[in-house]
Amino acid sequence: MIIDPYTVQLAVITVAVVAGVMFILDTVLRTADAAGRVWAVAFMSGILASFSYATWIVSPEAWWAVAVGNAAVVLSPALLWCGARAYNGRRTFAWIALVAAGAAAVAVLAEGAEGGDWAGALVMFSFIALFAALGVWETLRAPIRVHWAARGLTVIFVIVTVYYSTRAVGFVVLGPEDPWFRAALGTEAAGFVLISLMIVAVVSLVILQGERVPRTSGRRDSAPSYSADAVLNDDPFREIVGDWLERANYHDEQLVLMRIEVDELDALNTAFGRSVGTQLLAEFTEVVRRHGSPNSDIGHDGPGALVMVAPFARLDLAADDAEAVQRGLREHRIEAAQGLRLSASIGIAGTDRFGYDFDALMMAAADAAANARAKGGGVVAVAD
Amino acid sequence: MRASGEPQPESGTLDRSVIRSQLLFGAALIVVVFVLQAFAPGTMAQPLVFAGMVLAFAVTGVTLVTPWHRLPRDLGIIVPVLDILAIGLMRIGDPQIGVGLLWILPTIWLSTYFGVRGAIIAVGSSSVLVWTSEIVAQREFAAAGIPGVVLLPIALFFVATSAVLSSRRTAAQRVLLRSQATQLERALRRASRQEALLADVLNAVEFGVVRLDRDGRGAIMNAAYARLYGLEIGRPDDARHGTAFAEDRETALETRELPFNRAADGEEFDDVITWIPTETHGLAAVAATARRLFDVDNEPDGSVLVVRDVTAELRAIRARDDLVASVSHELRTPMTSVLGYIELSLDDPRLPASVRRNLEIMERNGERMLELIASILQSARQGEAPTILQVVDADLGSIVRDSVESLRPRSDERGITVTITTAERVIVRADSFRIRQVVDNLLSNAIKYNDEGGEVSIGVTADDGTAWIVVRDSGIGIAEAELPKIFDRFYRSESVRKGSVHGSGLGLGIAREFVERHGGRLTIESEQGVGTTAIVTLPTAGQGEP
Repeated sequence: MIIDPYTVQLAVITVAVVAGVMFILDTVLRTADAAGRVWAVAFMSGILASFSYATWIVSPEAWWAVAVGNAAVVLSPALLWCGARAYNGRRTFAWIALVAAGAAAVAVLAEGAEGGDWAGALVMFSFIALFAALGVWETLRAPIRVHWAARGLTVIFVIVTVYYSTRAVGFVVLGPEDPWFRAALGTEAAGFVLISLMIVAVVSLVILQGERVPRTSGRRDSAPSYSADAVLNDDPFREIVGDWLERANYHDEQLVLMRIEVDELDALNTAFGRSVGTQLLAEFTEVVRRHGSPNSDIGHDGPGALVMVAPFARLDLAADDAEAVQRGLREHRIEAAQGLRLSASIGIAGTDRFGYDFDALMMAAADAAANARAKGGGVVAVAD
Repeated sequence: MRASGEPQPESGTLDRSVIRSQLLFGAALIVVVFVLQAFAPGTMAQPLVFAGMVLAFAVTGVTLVTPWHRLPRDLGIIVPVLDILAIGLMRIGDPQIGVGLLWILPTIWLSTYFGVRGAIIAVGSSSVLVWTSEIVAQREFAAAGIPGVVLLPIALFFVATSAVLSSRRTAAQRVLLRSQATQLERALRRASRQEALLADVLNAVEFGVVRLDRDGRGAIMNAAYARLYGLEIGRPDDARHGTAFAEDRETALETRELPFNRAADGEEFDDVITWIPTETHGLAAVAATARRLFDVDNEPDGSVLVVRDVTAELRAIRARDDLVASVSHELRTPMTSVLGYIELSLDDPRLPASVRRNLEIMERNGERMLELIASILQSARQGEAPTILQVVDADLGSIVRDSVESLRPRSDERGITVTITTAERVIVRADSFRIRQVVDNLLSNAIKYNDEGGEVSIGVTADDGTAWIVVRDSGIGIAEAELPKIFDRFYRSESVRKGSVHGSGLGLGIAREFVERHGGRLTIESEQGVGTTAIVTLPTAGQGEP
């Protein structure tokens, strides 16, 4: 099968653009940290590289486009490595990436217009192989290695290391005109390898980002250490409340589930932007923790919704507690949002009425909270 | 660059606004370049176009990793300006491609975040670049070229204007929101201060207060209420439960009869006495008063219930009554003996007529005194067994004449003229002894509380079914403020208490009770320093008979 370089490059561009834009959008929509940003830049430089090569393929007289392309293509794995370092909480050494990219560009420019198709190729191959190898090492270090998605990244780096080392060796030993080199290590073959790797990379990185972002709000899988807005995640909450319920059932003691939902969450996010929205939610959690009963566990159940479980002999006592939370919210002024105050719709469901089944209680509390919201928000509704 | 894994919450806004705007621009640029690459492949080979693209990518990359929150806000202006420049380079490189439209993005950005200044920079630099590209292209100035040269800057101008205006509006709305929030906060603080003040005041008073909301639930309770009923102050609604007995201290009240629940049902009442068990000393008497409350729209808005511990008060009244009863009881024995000896003396036929007359007056008054003592005793027993009226056909005229006669010595003593204006024969179904008691009381008051040498007039008249006895004096009168109290038992007016005239303070109360039990009315009109008029009206047919 013969596919001309332009078509391959167009395919590479398409995949690079789609994957890159996806990752960048993902980065923008989340509260990205340093690692996410560095990775986003890596993708951008990948896109730039494919644009540059496409320009050169179409108009071979624009040999300087190769200089930009080589620099960008070196920058891309280099920044992926820097991002992994940032993820692991180490210095990024971004300057190393920039110096290497500069070197790759200079290698092309030094040969000038007469450099031919493969000007600076050896430098580029070596740098890519080097940074990929560094990437392999970095992705095997803690803490990134605990994520299974990091395996994908490791595999990509391994393949890139091997492939580009081979390319570099093949380039030196066989020369670019060798048929075997052209078939297995030529531009077209490299294009296909890049396409497949990019797809795996974007998936791995998006997952890594997703794993990472909740950590910034202080939630861990179990045994949360203290932080002002720490609450339990879905699964640990279900497990802990299940245990509460089983034990309360034996002693015939009433447990009350209190579902606390921020009113007008969507409007808040639209009005103040997602990052302020995230901060609002953090402060919301803080207030609920501060004013809710200390003998309770608090779980996270969807955006802007917390569920608090605590023993109460009577539902009106629980309602008093809910009022205290409301009061706390009312008194808490949020500077980031023009001194706005949050209000919450609170739904209460007790085991005396709904039994000791986690899902039934959660459902009843959610219905009650929806009821409270239907009344205009800022009220406490008891499920009955 | 130092990357830290920790989020910087306070920095988020600016960081993200720069990055987001630039990424939006970057995405648009990628799409444009992609389209160019696919459909006009040669374009990118223009060095300037390519340089513009590389510049835009570089700016975007640097923007992404720059910690904007640590830099001055105005530095962010560089990014859109460089974007404009990048587009300019591409356009100069190849004026045919439509990248000029991309200027809209940095223009909106500059105008929104940097106001008029940003708008001028954006429109100005774009326009200069448009014209530069036209000059570089060395195109003939022709009518067909006008849209490209003029329309784009104009379009950018309008975009900038609308962005400036809408960003101003947003800013103004933010200012208003903040001021509203501040006012709200002030109001909230004031309200909670007032609430605290109210709570302090309520908790300082001696009587218990509970505020019921419009659903009849306890909303606020003060400390005195909580103390009295042994409740928790924070749980005002608990007041709806409890044990209480009626005024007789024996009948247990049902839950709905408790003052709280009666008030919750919207009832109003005054000083309803209930007895409640206390932790320390048996039953306590509580007087409860309830009033409904109305909101500004005059809609019912719950009630307020005020309770007072009246145990000591009731005990004092009881002690007084016991005292009066026992004193009266002790008086009766010597009086009986006095009367016995008067009777013995009257049996002596040798008595001179004048002495006999004196003794007879003594006997009559002694007997009246005995009967008075008996009625005080009865009155002190709080109507446990009310006096039974001996109803006969009584002649008011003769009662009045007898009364005047019997009090003659006292009126003569003080030089007071007692005139009987009319003393018709008026027959009334009544207990003549009690009516005489009433007349005696009114007449003796008129004499007692009169000036030396004053005047008293008394008259009896009747019309259809009603008899009138009017006693008028030229005496010292009663202060207006004291008039409502003169019927209270043991009450004596200020001026009288200071004077030398003796009295029990029982008379008028008892008199009114007797008149009312006959179905009549006793009214007192008085003007201080001028005199007092007492009017008794009685139905001639008597009480309860047609």
